[in-house]
Amino acid sequence: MRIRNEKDFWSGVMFVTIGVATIVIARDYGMGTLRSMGPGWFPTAIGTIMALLGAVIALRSLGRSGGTERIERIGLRELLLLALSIALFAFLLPRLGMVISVAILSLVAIFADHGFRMIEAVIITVSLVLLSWLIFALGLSVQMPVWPTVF
Amino acid sequence: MDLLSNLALGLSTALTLTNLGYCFIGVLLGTAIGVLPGLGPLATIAMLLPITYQIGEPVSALIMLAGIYYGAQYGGSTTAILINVPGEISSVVTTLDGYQMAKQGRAGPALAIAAIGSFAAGTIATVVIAAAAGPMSELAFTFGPAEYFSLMTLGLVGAVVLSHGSLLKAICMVLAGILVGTVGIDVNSGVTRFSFGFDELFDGVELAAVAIGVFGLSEILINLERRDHREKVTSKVGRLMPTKDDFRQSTWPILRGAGLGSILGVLPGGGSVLSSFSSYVLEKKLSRHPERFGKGEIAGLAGPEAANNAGAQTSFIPMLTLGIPSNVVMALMIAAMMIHEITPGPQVIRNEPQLFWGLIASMWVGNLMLLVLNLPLIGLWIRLLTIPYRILYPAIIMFCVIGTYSMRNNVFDVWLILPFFVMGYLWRKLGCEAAPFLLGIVLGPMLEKQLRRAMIISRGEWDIFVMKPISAALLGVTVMLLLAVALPFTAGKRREVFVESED
Repeated sequence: MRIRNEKDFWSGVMFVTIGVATIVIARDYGMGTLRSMGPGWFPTAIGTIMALLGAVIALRSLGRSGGTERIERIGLRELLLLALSIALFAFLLPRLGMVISVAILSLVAIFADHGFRMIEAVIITVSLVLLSWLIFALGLSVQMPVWPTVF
Repeated sequence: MDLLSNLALGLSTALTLTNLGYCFIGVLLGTAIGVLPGLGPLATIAMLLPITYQIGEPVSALIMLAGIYYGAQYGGSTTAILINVPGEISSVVTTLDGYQMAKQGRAGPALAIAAIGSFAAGTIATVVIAAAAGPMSELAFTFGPAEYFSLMTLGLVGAVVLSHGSLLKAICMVLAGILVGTVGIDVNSGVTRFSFGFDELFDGVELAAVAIGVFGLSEILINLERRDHREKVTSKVGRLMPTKDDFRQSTWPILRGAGLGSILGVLPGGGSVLSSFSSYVLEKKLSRHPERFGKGEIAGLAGPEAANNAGAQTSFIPMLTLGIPSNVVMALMIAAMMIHEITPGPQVIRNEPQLFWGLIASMWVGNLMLLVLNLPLIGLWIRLLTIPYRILYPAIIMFCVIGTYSMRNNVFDVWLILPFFVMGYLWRKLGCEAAPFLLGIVLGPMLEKQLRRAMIISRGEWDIFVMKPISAALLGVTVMLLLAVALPFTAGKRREVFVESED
């Protein structure tokens, strides 16, 4: 047996996984009766339909009718770097304040691009820090630490 | 007359200095960001949604958000005409003849006709909304849980039918969204569901963070991968004013497009996409020289642009009167209303007439602003188009994360972006669409609530959904829609339409 349509196959697997996980977790919530549905009834029903449809999607991808489709390359480097930049921002903002967090966010994010130049990175980062301070701290007066609070 | 006094009330709200200001900022920001390479209307709205949370008055926030919406859409048409890059599916049709006109050195008239057509259609659609909203919300008051449940099912299926991938995958995405919508405390039982131990999830997931993850940020990754594939900007816009001939050739297409769009926009899952496609097909059928379509025929630009805008506007009708979003943008509007503690539904028009009519009147005002503002600013938009993406995207990320933080002054929502960012990216690779997912999140909780109510009323009998005539009719249409897509003949047609759109 060969996977003809990779996209559909893995989508199907994903839907089955989410569906089954939902059913398992929702077992603790109480099903109730049709007349008075418990908190677990609706998620279980949705999860069941999803798992069934997911199975159909995955099975169809093995047959001829599903067509052939490959998954394009996944840009792991870019994905991880962008995710890292956001995670660092979320982690650092309460600790080091907006100025430093935005600077780090910007530098890490720029690093995701292959063709980046150092001078350009510094210019973009400085302007972003200024811009974020102008718009969010000054303009919209969002409640957040601007500088590290330790000092 | 009721209609006039309502519109007058609306205008008096929309024309206050504050609201005019927010409307102006909205259309300007929307257009500017919509024009920027790599940012479609959805990403634009997702990115700017948190900022509207900072506005105190709900009506001002909604006016600005609506302005961002049609501003971004107009920006999308601009890029479609100038560089052959449609911001979203609805402006795909604009690229067909609009870009051809630009190539022939007639970018100016193309942009002008797009703006004039949108404004004319917006005017007509505003009247349609004003006329239809009252009766619609009266009708909605007669709806019970069964009717609402069936209507929402129809809305979700409608949205799925219009998405252009596999039908089954789109349905699964809706279901996934519904599941995410159940996160948080269940109001009936007090049980906390799927919160994975996070107190911050008791009130459910923050929709703006999800939207930013799946639309705003995952789009950046995709853009980083397919860099350098942009077509050249047409630097010569030419004279702006369309000729008399242009006007003569576009008047009827604009009027027909506005009519068609106004009707199609109300349909669940309808809105601007269906409208612009249908208008193009209609104009091509009616034209004396259909062979000129796709080669720079102005009717092929004017009709869809008008239809697109009319449809975008009348899609507010189901959202405002029934509380049901017919597309993702409306789902985000609902999120914005909820933040300001307004529950969308038929009671809005009664309890908040100022908000209701003010928003509607502001759409007309905003369209007028677009017309007056955009044509003189076209030089600026062209310059924005030439900004390299590598400079832009760090700024987009910055906006997204600080914006998300600012909604509740809480970094939890920023963390929440991460899983949805990764999922959104993988979904694109797997050919799963994120729009039905977001609709599912918004409609899921309502769907469950109405289902439970209906089953209590019927004492656990399923036949309540077919015994009530309105509910039965809605479900009937739903089944017909599903069959129409699943049957081989129409399925082929559907693929054809979408394939044509992707070329």
